[in-house]
Amino acid sequence: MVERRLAFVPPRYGTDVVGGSESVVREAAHGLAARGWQVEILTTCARSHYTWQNAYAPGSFSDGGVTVHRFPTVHDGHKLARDTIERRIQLGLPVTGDEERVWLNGDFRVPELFHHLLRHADDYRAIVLSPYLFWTTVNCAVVAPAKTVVMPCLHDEHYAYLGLFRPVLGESGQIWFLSGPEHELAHRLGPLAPHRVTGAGVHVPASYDAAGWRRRRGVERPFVLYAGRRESGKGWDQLLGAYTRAVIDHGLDLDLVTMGVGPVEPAPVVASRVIDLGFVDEAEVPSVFAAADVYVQPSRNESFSRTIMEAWLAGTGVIANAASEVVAWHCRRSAAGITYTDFDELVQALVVAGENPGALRRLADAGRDYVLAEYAWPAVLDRMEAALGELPA
Amino acid sequence: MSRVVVAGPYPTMPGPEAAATLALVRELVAAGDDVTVVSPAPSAAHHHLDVGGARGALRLARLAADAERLLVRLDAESLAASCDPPRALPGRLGLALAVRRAPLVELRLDRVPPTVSRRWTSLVLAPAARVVVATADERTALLAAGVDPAKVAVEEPPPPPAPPRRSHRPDRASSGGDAPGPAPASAADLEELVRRRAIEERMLAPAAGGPAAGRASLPLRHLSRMERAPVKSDKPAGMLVKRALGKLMAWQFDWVIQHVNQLHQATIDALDEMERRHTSDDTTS
Repeated sequence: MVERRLAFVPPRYGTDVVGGSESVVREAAHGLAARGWQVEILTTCARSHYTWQNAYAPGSFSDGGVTVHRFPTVHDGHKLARDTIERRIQLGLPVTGDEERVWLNGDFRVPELFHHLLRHADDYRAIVLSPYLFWTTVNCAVVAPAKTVVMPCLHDEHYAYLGLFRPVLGESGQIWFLSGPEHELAHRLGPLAPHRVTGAGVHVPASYDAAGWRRRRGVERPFVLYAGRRESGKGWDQLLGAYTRAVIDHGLDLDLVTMGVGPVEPAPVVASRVIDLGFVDEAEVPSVFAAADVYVQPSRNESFSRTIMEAWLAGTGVIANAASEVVAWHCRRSAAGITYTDFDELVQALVVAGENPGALRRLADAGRDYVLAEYAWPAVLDRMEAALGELPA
Repeated sequence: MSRVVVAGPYPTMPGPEAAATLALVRELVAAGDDVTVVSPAPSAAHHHLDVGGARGALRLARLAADAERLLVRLDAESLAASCDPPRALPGRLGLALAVRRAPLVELRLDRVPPTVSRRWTSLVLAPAARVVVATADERTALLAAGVDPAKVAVEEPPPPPAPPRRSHRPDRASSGGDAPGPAPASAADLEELVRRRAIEERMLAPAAGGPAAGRASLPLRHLSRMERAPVKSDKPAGMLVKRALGKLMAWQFDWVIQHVNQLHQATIDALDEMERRHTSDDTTS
């Protein structure tokens, strides 16, 4: 039944895949499946977004209410040329259209997925592609543009200005944005296809067990939490540097706990105070947020920031980078988080959090109300279904 | 269902030729054919190879051997179809082999020059069951080069697709617009406190003694010292070879590493010394 059949096309899929947009896609797919949609996931066999090597077996399987089809990645691009172009893009230097294509195809390609979609596009009511930055989205957008929905998860970064993405955002059937600032950014980038701000959903945990988690993990001291990929692009280096200075210069009495992937590399002077939880089981994550004294979102490249929502839901205060328009927008609308504009302010924000843990927790109450009103999954799925209803039949 | 190999520009390559190949592949898969796509540059195609070169043409010949139909789109101008340069010969021979491997071959030619080499047409076009060009002039050029008139068809390229629906008007954000109102004092108060302290910190930092010393060099002190990359290999033999190579090459790299680390430390020392002098000057004055 085509009318109720959807395809989601993320570049990676799995419960052990770390990433904000990947989580949004997985939860949206399962949420719509629970509402009676027949949902299929077309994705790659890759787990790591660093190597894109095939880690899962190709083929189809059922994951809860959705059917997953995995296709192998192919690595036959010019990696060296791609890396050179990538550095130029990151520096904001101009690149030609041909170079953009060398860059796009240089990391991985998934021709089998593309041709599967070409064969079966007519079977779907809509094809949802996300996020914007990957081969799967750029290529699959040309298969059936009228029924293609792009959930770009845009950030204001040099990549977003590449000409390669203009047709993706301008010629697809619909664009779904996660936040108002992302929507405004897309308008600044160029003409847009019909679009909606659907937002992204956050699951509201039934309960939290902060004390139990602390006991099980042996974490006794108060701590600052960071969840996500530990990369400079995500602000990890800045957070680590500010934390180090807050400890050395101001005697900050909070540990720094982190969960996610990537090298931690703390300075020796604070190494014993920085705790890496690595990949944390999904069921444990809410309790980690609840156990934290404050959550820091140092990334300036956020299109939604689920982690600040999870912190607020858990009653944990948030310190966020004001350079991220989206995070600052959430903090402004909810009046529930404090933002910093530079390294020194981050140091002071950590110090203030250490001195006034109660004040930040009280702010988090307003944050919890904000998340429940705007970003609980039922409200988001209502908006997604309404948008799907507007697609041409 | 038949096995078909299609060669030509393909998305994400730009231009109408890529769009036309995609349309052709779409038709074939809709008809239930098993399609393998080859494009001249990396794209959504299964393979990318330059069919004008000997290597690419030979790989195409291997793919064509397993197919029942071979549909190839060629840019006649870039293949130098008007003349017979010796450097083009290996590629031509490879392409000639490819078009002879498949039972049924259709060629679509773009940019056919006014005069076409007879040798090229006999090598590349002769085995094709059908040759398609875009204009009558191109057809005439092929006929003048000895191609069988019954094989050559003229098909005008389809008109470009209609411009997509686009919107410059920001749609109403359904999940709420901008800030609903001013933030409660508590969040603003905390931010104000953070900003004020950061400013005070910046103003006080140069005058502070003791703990502030080494502030400027803090990022450098956090930077790991340079060292040789660890030897890694999944295979024991690979590990041994890499270790041996590492030892052989050590004389080239170790002094560079040592030099960089000395420079690193010297920069830290210099920054600390400058900071100390600056602090003592301020105290004296």
